[in-house]
Amino acid sequence: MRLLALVALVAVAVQTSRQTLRAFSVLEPHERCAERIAARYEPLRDYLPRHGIVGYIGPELTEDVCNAKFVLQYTLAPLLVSHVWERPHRLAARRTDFVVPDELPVVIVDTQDPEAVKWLEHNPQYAVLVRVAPELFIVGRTR
Amino acid sequence: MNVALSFLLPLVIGYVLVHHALGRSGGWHSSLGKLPLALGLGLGLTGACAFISLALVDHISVGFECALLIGVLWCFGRRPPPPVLSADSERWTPASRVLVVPLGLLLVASGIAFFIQSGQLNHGGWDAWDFWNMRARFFARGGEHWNNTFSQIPWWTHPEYPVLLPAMVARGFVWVGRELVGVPRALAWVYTVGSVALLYFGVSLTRGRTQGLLAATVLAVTPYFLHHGAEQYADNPLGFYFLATLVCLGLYDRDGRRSLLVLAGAFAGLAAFTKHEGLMFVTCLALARSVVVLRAQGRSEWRRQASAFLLGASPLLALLTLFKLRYAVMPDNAEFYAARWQHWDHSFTDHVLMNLRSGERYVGFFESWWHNLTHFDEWLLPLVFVLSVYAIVQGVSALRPRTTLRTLAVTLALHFLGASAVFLLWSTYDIREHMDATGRLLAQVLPVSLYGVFLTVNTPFTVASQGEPEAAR
Repeated sequence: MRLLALVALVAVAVQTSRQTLRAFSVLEPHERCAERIAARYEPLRDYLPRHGIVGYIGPELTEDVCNAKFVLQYTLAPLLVSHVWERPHRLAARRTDFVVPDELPVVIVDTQDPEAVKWLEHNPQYAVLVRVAPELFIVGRTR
Repeated sequence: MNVALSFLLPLVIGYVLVHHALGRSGGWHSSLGKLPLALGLGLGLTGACAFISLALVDHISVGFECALLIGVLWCFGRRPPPPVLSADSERWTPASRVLVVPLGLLLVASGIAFFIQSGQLNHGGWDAWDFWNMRARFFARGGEHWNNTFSQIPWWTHPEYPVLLPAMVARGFVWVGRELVGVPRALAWVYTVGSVALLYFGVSLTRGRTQGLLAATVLAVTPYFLHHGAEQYADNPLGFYFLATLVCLGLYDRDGRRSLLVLAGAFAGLAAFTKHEGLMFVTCLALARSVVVLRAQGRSEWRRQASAFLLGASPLLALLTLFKLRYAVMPDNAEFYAARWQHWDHSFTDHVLMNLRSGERYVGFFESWWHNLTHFDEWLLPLVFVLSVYAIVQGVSALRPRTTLRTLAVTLALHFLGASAVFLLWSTYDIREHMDATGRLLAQVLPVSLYGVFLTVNTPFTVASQGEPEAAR
C-alpha cells in the first residue's frame, strides 16, 4: 500500500511535469508586452532629462493587457512619469521633499490613443518639441 | 564574467558564516546543501549593504560589501574549526536506488521547463518589471535622486514595499557595469533552484536522502512555483528565506548549537526585508516558537533562544525600520491601507464591524480559500489532496522532530489566521478579488510546508533493522 502511494505520487508528478513542459514552451501575448512596449519607448530617453518629472498622455491598458504608462515608467526611471490627469497625485507628492511642478513642463504624447490627439488640440500651450517615432511625441509648454 | 563575480563575493561571505554555524560537512551532499544557504545569506546581506550604501552616500558602493567580507573573514577566519555536522545514516536500498531515476528525471524536466520560460521572459513578469526591477533602475541610475521612487507619483508601484530584492538587483547592475537582464534572471535562478536544493538538504539531514529527494521533487514539479521563479517575482526569495529559517531552527533542535539560532534570525530578518508577508511570518514564528519553548523547555531556554535569534535578526529589522521611517511612502489612493481611514465617511471601527456583519464576505472568504488551496499549485490533481493521501498511507513517523514541527505548525496557523483577518475584516476590496492574492501566500509557504510534511511522514523504504536517522528532541 505504501509503495502504491509512492508510485501514485510519482505518476501524478510525471503527468504534471509533462503538462508544464508543454505549457511553458509558449508565452501568452501579455507576457511579452513589457519587452514590446519598452522597445518603443526606449528612444525617448535620449531627449529627456535623467530625473525630475514628465507628463504622459496615451494608451493605458493595451490590447495585449499591458499598461503602457507603467512600462514607460519602467523605461524612463528615475524620471517620474505622471499621467496628465493625475493632478491629485502631483499635489500629494508636493508634500514630500522633492519639487513637483503644478503644471507639467514636458509631456510625452502617444497618439495611439485618440484621447491624446484630443488633449493636444485642447491644450495649445503645448508645442511639439520632438517626434521620436510615428505617433510618439514630446511636447513642451510654451506659455 | 562580471555576473559570476557579483555572485562570488556573496557566496564567500555566506559560506564562511554558514560553515561556522552549521559545522563541517558530514558528506558531499551536506557540503552541497550549504551552497544555497550560503548564497541566499550572502546575497541578502550584500543587498542590505547596497541599501545602506544608498542611504549613506547616495549611490551603490561595493566598498560596503567588501568591508563586510573583511569583517566576516576577520571574525571567523581565526576561530577554531566547528564540529562536524551530523548527517543522516541512511543506507541506500535497491528500491531507493530505483526511485532516484524517475525523481532525477523529474528534476531535470522541471529544470528544463523553468529555464525555457525564464529565457523567454527578459524583463520578468508584471510585478518584476513594474515593482522590483523598476525600483532597481531608480537605485542604479538615480544618483542622488535614487529615492524619488518613494513618491506619490508612481503610486501603483507600492512605494511602501521593502526593498531587499531591488537592492540586490541594483548591486548586480553595479557589479556588471550595465543593466543586464541577466542579473535579475540569475537571482531568480538562485532562489528557485536554491529552494529545491535547500529543501533536499533540510529534509535529508534529518530524515534521509530518499525523503529529501521526494520533498525536493514535489517542490520542483510544482508549476506555480516554477512559473513565479521564471517571472522573477519576490515570492520565491521570500519562500527561500522562510525555509532557510526553519531549516536552521530544525538543525538547532537536533544539534543544540546556538550559532544556528543566530543564522535562523538572520534569515528571518532577510524575509522581513523582502516583503511585508515576511514581517508577518517572522512575527508569527517568534510567537509560535516562544509558546512551544516556554511550554516544553522553560524560561531560561526561551531566553537563550530568543537572544540568539534576535542577535541575527535585529540588524536587518533595524534596517527595515529605517526604511519604513525614512523612505517608505504610503500612496494616498492605497484604499486597502490604514492611511485612508481619515478619508472615509465612517471610522475604521465601523468599517471592521460592517465587514464582520457581512454574511456575503464570509461566503466569499471560505470559497476563495477553498478555491486557492485546491488550485494554486497547478498540479494535475491538487497537491493538497495528493499529499494528504500520501501522508495518510505512509503514516506519521515516530522519529519526527517534534519541537521543529510544532513551531512550524503554530507559525503557519498564526500566519494564515493573520492573513484571514486582513482579508475578512480590514480589506476594503471585494473579498473574492482581493483573495486572489492567497495563491501567492500559499506559494510563499509551499517550501516550508513541504519541509514539514516530509519531516512528519514515514519514509517509503524504511527498513526496520537499518532504522531512520536519529530524530531530534
